[in-house]
Amino acid sequence: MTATGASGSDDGVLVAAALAGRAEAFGTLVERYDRAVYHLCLRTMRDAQEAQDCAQEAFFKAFRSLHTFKPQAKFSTWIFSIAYHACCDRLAARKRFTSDEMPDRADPAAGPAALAERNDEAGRLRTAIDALPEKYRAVITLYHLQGRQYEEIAEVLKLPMGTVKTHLFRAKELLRKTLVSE
Amino acid sequence: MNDEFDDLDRALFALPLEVPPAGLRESILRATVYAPRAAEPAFRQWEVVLIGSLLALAAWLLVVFSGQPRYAVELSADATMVVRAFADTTTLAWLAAGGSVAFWFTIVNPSALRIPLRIGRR
Repeated sequence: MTATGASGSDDGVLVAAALAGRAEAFGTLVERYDRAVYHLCLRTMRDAQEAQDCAQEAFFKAFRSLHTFKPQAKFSTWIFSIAYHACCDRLAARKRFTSDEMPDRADPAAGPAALAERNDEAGRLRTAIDALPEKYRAVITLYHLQGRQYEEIAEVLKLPMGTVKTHLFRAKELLRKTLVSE
Repeated sequence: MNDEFDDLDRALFALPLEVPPAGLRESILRATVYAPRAAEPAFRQWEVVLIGSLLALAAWLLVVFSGQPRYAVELSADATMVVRAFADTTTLAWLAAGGSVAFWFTIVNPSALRIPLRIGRR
């Protein structure tokens, strides 16, 4: 399941239309990508409210700088990159204010809703992804969103392709270990 | 690398995307597509200053010349003199010499125009 498969081809047309003054074309792009962008933000931030703020900020920045979008680029890669870096900025600010690495969230097994989620297979996978270190979490989330398109993952994260592949391999190893040990 | 993670890959790609909170799309659209656009001023600040100055000059000239017609004759004579002076080849030669000296000065001694910059460090 990727967020970018079928609709990627005519995103450029929508961007061109939005730039030509048809702002509602940007609305179509929002409808197309808001869920994927929110997903990426939530996985990165691990906080629903902050993920919502980051997603909103990403679309706002994209709208303001739509003229800088290169027609040969993919809109999904571009918006994911903006969203991911918006998240990174917030995480960096969070670390600055706490002057230390943020502590992990409270044990998700604490509430009954979390317990129910743990029993569910998708929920277990989500919990395992959330437990990954930030750099692995981002790469595995983009792997999920972008399919196996490593170049685009590398472009979003601004990392060399080799690093992306290494991160992905380690992320998968960690995920498997976590899932097996449960 | 892919073979050993086939099951995990299948599980990952079957994982549904998180459902955004209700109102996220609306709030994005309100902030972008439906955001009220700030009305652009008809003139920029420097245009307002320029237009104001020109109007003030025009008003002042109108007052001066309507009260004292001989000023118009004097001004016209002065303007003719200035035009003649600039049409003179000697004047033009001096202007060209001055301009080229200034130009070469900027090339030979560019540090004279350099503004010292200080980059702050954290």
